[in-house]
Order: sequence, then C-alpha cells, then structure tokens
Amino acid sequence: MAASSSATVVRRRSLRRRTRWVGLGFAALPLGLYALVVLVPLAQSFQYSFFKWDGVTASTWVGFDNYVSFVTDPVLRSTFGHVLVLIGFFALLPIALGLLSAALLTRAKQPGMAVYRWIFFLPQVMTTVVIALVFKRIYAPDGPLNTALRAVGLDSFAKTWLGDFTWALPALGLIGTWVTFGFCMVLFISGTSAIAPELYEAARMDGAGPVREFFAVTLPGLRGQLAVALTLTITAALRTFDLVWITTHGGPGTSTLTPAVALYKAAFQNPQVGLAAAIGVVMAALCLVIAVVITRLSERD
Amino acid sequence: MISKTERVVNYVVLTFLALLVLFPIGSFILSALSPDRSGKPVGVGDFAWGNFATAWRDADFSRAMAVSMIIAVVVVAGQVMLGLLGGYAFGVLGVVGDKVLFPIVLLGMMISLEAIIVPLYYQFRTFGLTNTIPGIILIHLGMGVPFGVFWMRAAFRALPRSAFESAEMDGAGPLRMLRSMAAPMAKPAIYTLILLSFMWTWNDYFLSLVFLHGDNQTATVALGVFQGKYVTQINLMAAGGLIVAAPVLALYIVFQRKFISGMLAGAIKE
Amino acid sequence: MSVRKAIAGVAAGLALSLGLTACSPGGGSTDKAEAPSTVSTDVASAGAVTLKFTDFWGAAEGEWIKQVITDFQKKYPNVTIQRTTEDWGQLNSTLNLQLQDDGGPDIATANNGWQSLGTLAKGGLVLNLDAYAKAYGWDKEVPTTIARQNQFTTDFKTMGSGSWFSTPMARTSLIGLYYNADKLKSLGIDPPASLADLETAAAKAKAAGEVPFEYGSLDSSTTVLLGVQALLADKKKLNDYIYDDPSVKAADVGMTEAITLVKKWADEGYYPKNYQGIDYQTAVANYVGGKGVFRWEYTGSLGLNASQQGHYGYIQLPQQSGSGTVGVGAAPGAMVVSSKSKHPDVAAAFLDYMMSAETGQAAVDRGLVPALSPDAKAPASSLSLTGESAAAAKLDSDDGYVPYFDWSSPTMLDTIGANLQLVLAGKMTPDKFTEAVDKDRDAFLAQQS
Repeated sequence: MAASSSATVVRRRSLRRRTRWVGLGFAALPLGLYALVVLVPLAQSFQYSFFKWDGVTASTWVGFDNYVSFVTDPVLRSTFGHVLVLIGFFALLPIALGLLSAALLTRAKQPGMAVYRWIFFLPQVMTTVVIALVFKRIYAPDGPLNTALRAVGLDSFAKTWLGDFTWALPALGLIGTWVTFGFCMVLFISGTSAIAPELYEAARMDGAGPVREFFAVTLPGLRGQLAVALTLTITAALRTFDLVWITTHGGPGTSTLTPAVALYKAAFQNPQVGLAAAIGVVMAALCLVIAVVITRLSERD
Repeated sequence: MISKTERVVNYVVLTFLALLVLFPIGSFILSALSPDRSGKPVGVGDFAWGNFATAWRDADFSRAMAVSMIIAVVVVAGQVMLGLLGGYAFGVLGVVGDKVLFPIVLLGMMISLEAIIVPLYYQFRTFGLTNTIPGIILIHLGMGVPFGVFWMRAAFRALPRSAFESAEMDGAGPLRMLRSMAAPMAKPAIYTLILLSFMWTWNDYFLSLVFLHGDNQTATVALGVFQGKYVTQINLMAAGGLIVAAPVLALYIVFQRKFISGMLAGAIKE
Repeated sequence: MSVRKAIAGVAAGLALSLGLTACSPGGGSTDKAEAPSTVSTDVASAGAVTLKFTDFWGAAEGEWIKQVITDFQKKYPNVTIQRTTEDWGQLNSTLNLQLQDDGGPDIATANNGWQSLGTLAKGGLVLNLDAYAKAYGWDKEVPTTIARQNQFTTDFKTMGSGSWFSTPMARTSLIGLYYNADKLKSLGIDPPASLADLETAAAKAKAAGEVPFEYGSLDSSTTVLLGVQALLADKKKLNDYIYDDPSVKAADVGMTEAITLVKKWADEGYYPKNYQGIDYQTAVANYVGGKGVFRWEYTGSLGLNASQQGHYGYIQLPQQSGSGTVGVGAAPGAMVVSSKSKHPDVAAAFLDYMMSAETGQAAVDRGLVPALSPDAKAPASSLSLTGESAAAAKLDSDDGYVPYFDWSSPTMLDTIGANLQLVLAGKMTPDKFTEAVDKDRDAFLAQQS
C-alpha cells in the first residue's frame, strides 16, 4: 500500500511537471502576441530614449540627455506636479465616493439599488472622445455649469473653467472623478459582499451605527480592493492623455500639461522621438514602482 | 433592520450622486436634440430627431461604424480565445517560469500606449501591416493579452479544484477539460470579458488615429474629424457623439445584469 | 518576491534587446537630397498611371480639389488620382510615418517649416523638386517670398533658400482683419485703413457697447498676435528671423510691440468677457453669428456662405511705417512628392497644375482666395472675397509675404501659444515673452549646427 501510494505521488509530481510544459504550450500564443506587440516595442522605446532622433533622419547617441532634460526642463518637470493634483481627483476622490456609494448600496437591500449601481457605472462605458465633448460643453463660458451657477445666484463662481489658470486642472480632474468613481464602487461592492455577514451582525449586536460599522468592519475588509483601486487610478492619472488632449491641449499656458501629453507632443508634433521615449520609459517605471509599493503596503500587517 | 431616517438619507445621498452623474449626459442628449446650432435645450415637441440622420450622413458613419464593428467583433473573439488559453495555462495547468512570466504579463496592464506606439508603428510597417484592419486587430489582441489572462486566470482559480481532479482521473486531456468543463463553468467571467473587450476596442481612439487612414478610419476617429468640422454646430456634434457611443451603451443596457454581476463576481480575489 | 524577479526579467530583456539592436534607430541616410536628374514634363505618354493623394481639405476646399483632380484627369485621361482626406491633426502627426510606407501617398499636403516639411526633406522622404522647378519655370513664375517658403538648403541648416522640396498652389491663406460690415455701418465707422484707424474704431465700438474683437484664447489662438506683428515688423528682418538668421532677434521684428498691443486690447476689454474660456471654433461661430465687430483670422477659416460673404469685409492693413503692405501668408498646405513614388514626373505635373490660373479660378468660384492668378475674378456680391483677393494680389505684386512665425522652430507654435496665454492672464511680461521666443528659436538653431 505504502509503496503504491508513494508511486502515485511520484506520478502526480511528474504529471504536474509535464502539465507545466503543456501550460507553456497553451500560453505560447497569448505570450508571443503580447511580446510582439508590447514587449519588443517597449524595449525599442527604451533604446530610442538614449538617442536624439527626429523619427526620420539618422539618430545620434546622447546617453542620458533625454532623461536629464525631462527632469531639468521646468515645463516638463511641472507635469509631475499636475499629476499629483490629478491623483487627488482621479484616485482619492473617486475612492472616497466609491466607498460612500458602495456602503450605502450594500448596507440596506432597499429597492432601486440596482438602478443606482447602473447609473454610477455608466460613465465607464462611454468613450473618452465623447466624454471630452460632453464636458467641453459643460464647462463652456455659457455652458450648463455656469448657467446653473447663475441660476442659483452664484454668479461670482461662474468661471471660464478650462481657460482659467487656476481652475483648468481641477476642472479636468473632476471629469476623472466623474468617470472613475463608478468603477471604484463596483470594486468595493464586490469586496463588501465577500466580507463575512457575521462580522456585521457582531458589530450591530455591539450597537454600532452605520458609521462605526463602516470603519470597524467594511474598511478593513476592503484592503485588497483598495490596493487595486489605488494602483489602477493612480496609474490612470499618470497616463491621462485623450481627455487633456481633446479639452485643453495642456493649456492654458502649460497648466494642464501631463507627461503623456508632453510625450505625444514630443513624438508626434515636434520631432523629438528620443525625448518621447524617455518620458514613456519614466512613466512605465513610475507605474511599476507605484504598483509594487501599494501591493507591499497592502500586504503588510 | 435599518431605521427609516437612515433609509431616507440613503436615498437622498444616492439620488444626489446619480444626478451629478446624469446631468452632463442629460444635457448632452438635450443638445443633440436641439434644432438650434448652439445646442440650447428645447421642449419635447421641438426635438430635432433629424440631427442624428444629418450627423450620420455627414460624418460617413455607415462606413466608419462598419469598420469599427468588424474590428471589435474579431478582437472580442480573439481576446476571449487568448484569455481562455492563457488564463487556463496560468490558473490551472501552471506554466514553466510563471513566477517571472506572470508578473511580466501584468506589467502590460500598466504600460501606456503612447510609450510604445512609435516603435510599434515601425515594427508593423516592416510586416506591411500598417493601415490594414488585420494589423490593428493584431495590436488590439496583443495589448489585450494582459487583462484577458489576468481575468480568466482569476476566474479559473475560483473554480473548485475537485472538479479538475475528477476530470483528470477520467483521463480528460487539458484541451478537452478547458473546452468541456472549465470554459462553461467560467461563463460569467467570459461575458464580462466580452463586454469589456468590446468596449475597449470600440472606444479606442489613439491607435486608430495613428494606424488607420482613409477608408479604414474607425467611428471614434470619424467622430474626431466630424467634431473638428462641426464644433460650431453643437447639436450635430452631440448627435454624432451619441451615435458613436450608442453600440456600447446598447450592450450595457441589454447586458447590464450580466455585466455588473460579472464584474462583481470576478472580484479580484487575490 | 515575484515582482523583483519580474523587474530583473524585464531588465534582462531590455539589455538583450539593446544588444540585438545595436544599430541606432532610423539609420536612414541623409544624402538623398540630390534632385532626380532626368525629368519629363510629358504626362500624356507616361502610360496608365495611378497616383495616391492625401490632403486634409473639407467643405469648399474639398470641392475645389475634387474639381482640380477631375480637370487634371480630363486633360490626361491616362492618369487616375485616388484622393484620401484626413483630419489635419491626424495627417500632420502621421505624415512622416505614412511616407515611409510602401503603400503611402505619392502626393500629400505637408506643413511648411521645420516641424514637418523640414524633417521630411532632411529625412529624404520627399523629393527634391529642383529639376521640375527648372523644367516648369517655377523660379520665374512664383514670387520670391512665396518660393522661399518651400525651400531648404541641401545641408538642411537653413530654410528659405536652396532647393525646392514642396510647391505652393494657386490658393493662399493670409492672416488679416475681417470686419462686420453691418456693424460698422450702424456704428458709423468706415473700414479702417491703418492700425491707428483700427484702434480708434475699436474704442468707438467698445463705447457703443460692442465687442471690438471677437477672440478666444482657450486653445491658444495666435492669429491676432501674428496679424499685428506683420504690421509692425520690418519685412526683411521678419523673413530672416524665421529663415534661421541668428543675428536677428525677436525684439527686432516687432514681437514686443505686438504682444504689448495684444495685451493692451485685452486690458481695455476689447475681447469678449470670457475670452479665456472660448475655444477657436466657438469664437468663429460667435463672429459669424453676429458677435463682435472685427476679427483677426486666416482667410477662408470663417466658412462664410454666399450670403454671409456680402456682410463681412476683409482688409490687409498697410504697415504702420507706411511702407507698403506686408502680410502673413502661405499656401494652405505645402505640396510634396513622396520619394517612394514610382511616377514622380506625373506627380510633379499635377503640382504644376495646382499652380495654374485655372485652379485659381476654380478656387474663386468656390469662395476661396486665389493666388498666383492675378486674373481670377471674384463675384462682386462677395464683399469678403473681393477684399481677400485684392489682398492676395497686392501681396503677390509687392512680394510682401512673410511666413507664419511658428515655422522658425519645431516647438515655436507651442511656445508662443502657451506664453500668449500667460501674458493675457498677466502672468508674464511682454519682454519676457520676447525672451522666451528667442530662447526657443536659438536653442533650435544651436542644435541644428
């Protein structure tokens, strides 16, 4: 008996090893395509980033010059500051609103909750081009937002939103909040449903109100989802392109310029492909670091 | 269970949030129906439904939407297949070197298209695939691999282990197991993948802008051209925007149950 | 930790790819600048030829080019031209990629200046057209200030002299002043004949409660600045500045005065109240819809229909110094022939045809401003087209064109656009603006040499 069972184990193990090669076979097609479309160009981008190149004529090796100018050029450097502001609107605010709406939607099985859920997720399915058009109109000097403000007597708050040096960036950021918060909500609802109901019952037995219940049970239970939401939204803030491009082109001045817009300008408007590649590499590296740091933090007890 | 006041407060807060979400969309729809070129909202009786027909004709949407539809349908089919293969490999079979390979796949979800588009273009030019529909389909598929694999891997891992073991005992090969057991069991996740993949492919703007020209232009790019021409006619521009958004919105409405519950079930359980 | 391994894997992959692709990107040679040596102007005997042609023209311009293609094909039935139109931004940002494709266009509209045409020429993507210029006599027929816009030296250090790499066409796009004729009449003001007149008129309009200049700066429209600068700057110096002469500085070409005046108009409230939040297209729509008295604009960009053309006038104001008329203007697109084209002779013949008097008349017939065709007749009912045509004819005869200022460096359009917004918002002084302009151009010249 003992001998045969150990033989089974051995057979299992070798089977396991063999399936891992079969697995590689299964994964070969997706991996190959991924390598072809993403990894190889990524490596080439990395290579370009050490050259001064206009995309057409012969290139010259410049070492780290492109990286240096990304960090030293005041305009390019300012894009990081803008990203920090955008993170507030693309990550923190949507997560807060997502938590709030998820908490309200899951706490009570009231009728109509599915409708709210559906509405909150709606912006996620709209294409950015259309969203940008929607909000360009909302923020227009005589657009619905200013009209609404004037209608309730808040004339002094009416602004030229996207043309205002102070307000353009927050105005853009709010578009991000509008788009992202439904996504965070869905993540959090799914996380909440995985929390053991006994924890809630115990909390209610202790006489916890909705607020205490949220902080004592829901929030700790959502750690994993929070990490995912933070990673995705922060990297999305860093990568924002179409929205800015279609609404402000990075203006007024350079007050809404993001790294991705600077990259696009360098790659497609001014022939500085090397600089564009350097910006792309820095962005990819930052995204990776952010993901690693957030994962680490969320895993630590 | 919960008090009446709390119930009312819930509704008030949620309705307020819902209005914030709906206000921009609603005002856009009203602009699209306005007979006035500035998009001033009008009463129901004065709705200019003809705006949609005008926009459809002027923006050459019938051609552009057909192109977008072909691309999206092929990409969705391919995406699901790649996701099934990769997800099954990483989630069930195991892959040689997966400790390194899987994180590299995940890395792909964080790379912005802008960072790789220039070398990508040169690479596809050497294949002779620039400005071709197959070319852009390949790119969409390659870029979609990370999410597809990640998503289906999670779905397969959530399936009960015992099912695989008994099938294995019955001598089912890995491909048959995937086809006849794992894939049917992971249906909700597949639905979500279909919808997300359709949505991302349809909504793409930048890739089409760079890779496709002339008669190959997609609906989003056609909308970009159209809005450049018609920014001064906000009603037509809004109508065009709604036309382009319509297919995804329709899917979202028809499959809303499956869509959100799929998202909910596919909870990132890592 | 798997993440660390992944990073190591990626790093190894990157290092490997560096090793594999040790050659530098774009190793293309830069010595493709010689012109084709044997050229033929005989299209009829070229056999059946199909040319691909890409442009960005829609509306009336689209109708015009369709007509031009039809006429050309009628003249040479052996030639077929397949036309593709694209959004201007799309074409501009991907033309260099398209021209490297084997299936790319034979003929395309490029953007003059270093940003687009200069790079294409330097990269050998577009043909040196000198031999055709000689064969068709372009050197003699095209005014120097227009011809220069299409030329680069073959060492690609200087623009504005040397070889032809593109051609203009029998159309032009100028920057000048439009006026709403009905408003001027009701205000009791004559169309201004000088900058001083204009300022008086603007003050009067403002006092009467009108917006003197319809303008929006949201997407950093620079027409007002460049329009004003052409009135203040010395023609030769401004040309030299843009054509890479490092000894001329922005302060020598009226930049400080121009930006000061533009800012002064803002301070006087001559622009609409919310002009910082108004984008270009909306400003155009407002103006055509009857808001504002004057507007600095590219010709053809207002999209006036036949009846509106009777109510808007166009003026090319004379120089403030009183010495002739100088205006910013260029063909609406630089026509280039791809180096990959298999039928350069036929392509060049089409380019030549685009400069003919017939195409000029075809332009006027569609309400577009003609150039290089002094006999083109505008209908008298069109006030704006009459003014525009007269302006173009005057600039042709005075040889008074200056190129768009943003041709001076690839990043200049960004620089003046973004800094103009800063000046208007009071966050930058005019002097600093001029400094920033020089800094941009000089940095570009330094890396050119």
